[in-house]
Amino acid sequence: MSAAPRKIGVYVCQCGGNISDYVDVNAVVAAVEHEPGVTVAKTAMFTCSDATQQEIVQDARELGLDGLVVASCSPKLHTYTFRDVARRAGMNPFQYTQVNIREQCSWTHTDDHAGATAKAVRLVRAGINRTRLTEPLEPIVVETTPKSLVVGGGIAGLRAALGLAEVGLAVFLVEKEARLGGWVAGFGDMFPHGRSGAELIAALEAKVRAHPAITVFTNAELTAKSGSFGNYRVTVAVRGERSETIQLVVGSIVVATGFDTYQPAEGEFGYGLDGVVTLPEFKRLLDGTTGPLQYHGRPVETVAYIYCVGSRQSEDAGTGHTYCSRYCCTAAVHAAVKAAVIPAKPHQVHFYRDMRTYGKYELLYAEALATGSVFVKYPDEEPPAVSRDDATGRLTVTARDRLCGGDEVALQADLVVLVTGMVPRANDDLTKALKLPVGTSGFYNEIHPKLRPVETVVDGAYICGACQGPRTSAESVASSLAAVTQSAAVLKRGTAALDPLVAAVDPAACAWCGACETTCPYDAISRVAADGKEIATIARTACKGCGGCVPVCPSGAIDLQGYRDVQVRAMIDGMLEAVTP
Amino acid sequence: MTAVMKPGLMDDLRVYGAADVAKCFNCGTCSAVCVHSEAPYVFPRKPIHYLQLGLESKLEGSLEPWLCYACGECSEQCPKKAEPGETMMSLRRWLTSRYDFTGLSRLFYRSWRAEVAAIVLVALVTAAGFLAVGFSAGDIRHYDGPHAFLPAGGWTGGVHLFDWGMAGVLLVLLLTNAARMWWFTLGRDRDRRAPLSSYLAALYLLPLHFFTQRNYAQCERKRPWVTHLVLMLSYVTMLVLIMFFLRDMASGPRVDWRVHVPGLVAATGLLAAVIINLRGRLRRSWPQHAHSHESDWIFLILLLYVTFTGVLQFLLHRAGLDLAANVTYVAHLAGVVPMLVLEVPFGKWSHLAYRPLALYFARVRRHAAAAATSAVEEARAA
Repeated sequence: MSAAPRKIGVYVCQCGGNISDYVDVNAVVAAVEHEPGVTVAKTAMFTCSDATQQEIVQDARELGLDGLVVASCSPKLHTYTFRDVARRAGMNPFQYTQVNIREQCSWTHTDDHAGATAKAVRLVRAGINRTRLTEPLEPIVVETTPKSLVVGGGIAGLRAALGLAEVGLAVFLVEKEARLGGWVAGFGDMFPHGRSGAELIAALEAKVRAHPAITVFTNAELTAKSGSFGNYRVTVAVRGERSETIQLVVGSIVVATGFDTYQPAEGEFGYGLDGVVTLPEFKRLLDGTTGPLQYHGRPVETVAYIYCVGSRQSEDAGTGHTYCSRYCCTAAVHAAVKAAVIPAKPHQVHFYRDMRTYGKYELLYAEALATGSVFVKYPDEEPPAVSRDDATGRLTVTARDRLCGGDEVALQADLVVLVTGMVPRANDDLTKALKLPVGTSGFYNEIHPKLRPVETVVDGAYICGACQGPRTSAESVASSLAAVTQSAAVLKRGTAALDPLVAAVDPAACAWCGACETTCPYDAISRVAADGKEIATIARTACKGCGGCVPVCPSGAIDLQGYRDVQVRAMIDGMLEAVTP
Repeated sequence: MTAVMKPGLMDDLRVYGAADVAKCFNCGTCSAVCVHSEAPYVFPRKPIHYLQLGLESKLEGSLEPWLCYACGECSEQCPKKAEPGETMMSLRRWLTSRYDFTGLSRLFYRSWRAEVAAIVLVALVTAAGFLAVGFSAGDIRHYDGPHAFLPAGGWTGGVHLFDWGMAGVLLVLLLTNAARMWWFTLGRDRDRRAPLSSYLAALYLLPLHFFTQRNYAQCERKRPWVTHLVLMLSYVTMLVLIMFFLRDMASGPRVDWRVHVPGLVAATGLLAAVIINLRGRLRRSWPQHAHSHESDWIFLILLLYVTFTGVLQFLLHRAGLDLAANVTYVAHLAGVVPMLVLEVPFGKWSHLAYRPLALYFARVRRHAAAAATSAVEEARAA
């Protein structure tokens, strides 16, 4: 503990009643204002308001504060706000503690005001105790490598590679398949512009291939990643006549591994019957059709579409495909518009749950209607059934017509198109190698859908395109350019600043047993020789400060900066201390 | 019961005037703004939906198209410009062709050329017949009052035999079609069978709706109702005068105020209503006149022709111009006969029977359903 007594400012927020309606904030101030080290304690209507921020800065300057506690809402909301206030007040930003008395007190204990107030007192006291033991910390500054690795050579990956090269970064593009282009390369006319996917990709690939800053590896996979933010060492395995393994050092990694289409099970909506196809299969049939539509040599007079196959499934189904695949309504409607202009235009009936041709794709829906497509809304709980008459070979779709009293209707069709959605790719090896976070549906998770839409918890690893979730190719490209921007923002600066709230090893206490190394999920711990013995060392840029290594150390040689054991114990003590009303 | 979809029914209805129905995305605005749409008869949305899905038997069994008076409010409010009012109109044409077992209605609605050819044919046969046997002593220059035509016809005048005979045939045709309408909408479906009491309780609706068209008066715009009522009442007045007072009507050259004044009033009403409607259709000034099927033009032109020649021959007779009056009279009959023979059972005229019948059947169906529900409740209570 530092010799000089601390001067801590404590600010308890009313949150305009969100807190003060349930927690007696004045009682909280009264209970903590005489705690050791507390120089000033007060309440404010909104601590995050400009006026209160100014007041804190002024108090700090006048009273010479060296520690700050704000008891308000979740640290997710305002950690960075008040770190900045601390910095402006001349304090070290890491000597500030956020205490959550809104989500954890007032909102959770609306029925017990006294209890909520007592709990708030304990939490604030714990915050003060932690702050009393803080030390000034400085951000970790790393130099970054001006190179980027793009995983996946579909439309998103190609565009990202080109974008990164255009901002002046060296790019490695790694594609698992033998050719570039992914799904889009196999598509004919695409919405909304009507241009062929194959042509789009051909143009994009030519540019990528011609760019001197881009190195393309096909038949290649990223197999391992080490190093830390700004300077990742990645291993790429290239298959071929002479398989080889390539080591690269890159500043950022852009993951654009795309999606798979949902493959219906045998018998699901009649899949497996002759004449029941998925949307991608139908698109291929359509792309290759110039005359009247035929399937297996038979003329197709009536096409039935069944929507939401593999999407928006019930949670009880346990498939994880509870999400809307977003693109399929528009893709199916687009296919129907295409099919309506071929000779001997077929009748087209769409069995749907909700039409989600959002935004300007609404126009395609209107066009489908105008060109004679018929839409039948079926109830969520009772999807259509498909059967086949073996004698005639005709298929029958039976459904309940939600828009007319749920009456049962039957349609004889020559072709049934299952409008299948997108599912995450089976990319377990890559996911493990990069330690990417996977959401409940199996797609990669960003940090924040609005504010940090392509960043992941792995610093310097960005996700874009359909590996993040179902989307159209236009949206995929938009997100890939976002990933380009994020990469460039870090790599073009040349350095990056990281939070110093990471693990630290006490060399004197460490005797290298390896327990911490095996525990670390980020491969941030390794063995080094020091003063004639082997000890653990922390790659500060790789460490996420999760604290997993701290309790496994048998000699207590590891501590987490900002959350040292003594601080956590002091917090617990503060919480356990009696609250006198 | 599973209803079988017939994709392409929308295409079949195109020729009946349903040009924009495909644009409909079933929002239901049309049914929300319609003053007549009320559960269980929700329209235009429901019949339009049946049409889109090609549920032919459900459409055949629908009374809803007849509950609509084509005020056009739905078409004005439709966000997709799918013309629901026009679709209802085309469904009435289609239903008319369905009720008619001879297939003539279907032929006429699908081909205006066939309709015109049939009219011309009947007109020629009528004119030839009257020229051959219609005038006293075969002399077209001679006008002989009520005995002028078919002189062998006995006390009422021979022409009466002819028009009563024609009326009989028309009535049989119309009643047969009405019976088919009943079969499609009430009889065929076991669930819709109604007890006799339901039929008796609602019987008063038939003359009520026929003579007042009071539901039409509930529509957003009142003028179409007034025009339509004037046209219908004038027509019925003329029909009654001709069917029952032909002798007095044809007397002359002096004017018989008892019949000629009502006759002239009715003729004026007919002329005014027909001209207003023709002008409306030409200018597309009302929503319900925005689209005109060929059958609408044929109907109005025929009516205009018949009224005009009728008034003209009356005036010519009063003026003592016997030859001109007789020629005009033959021309008049050459319009009247095809109008009655072809339009009443097979064309647009038939709605004078179908609409009141539909209103009547709709009440019967509702009455029967309510009775069935209360019976179930009583059984449950017991």
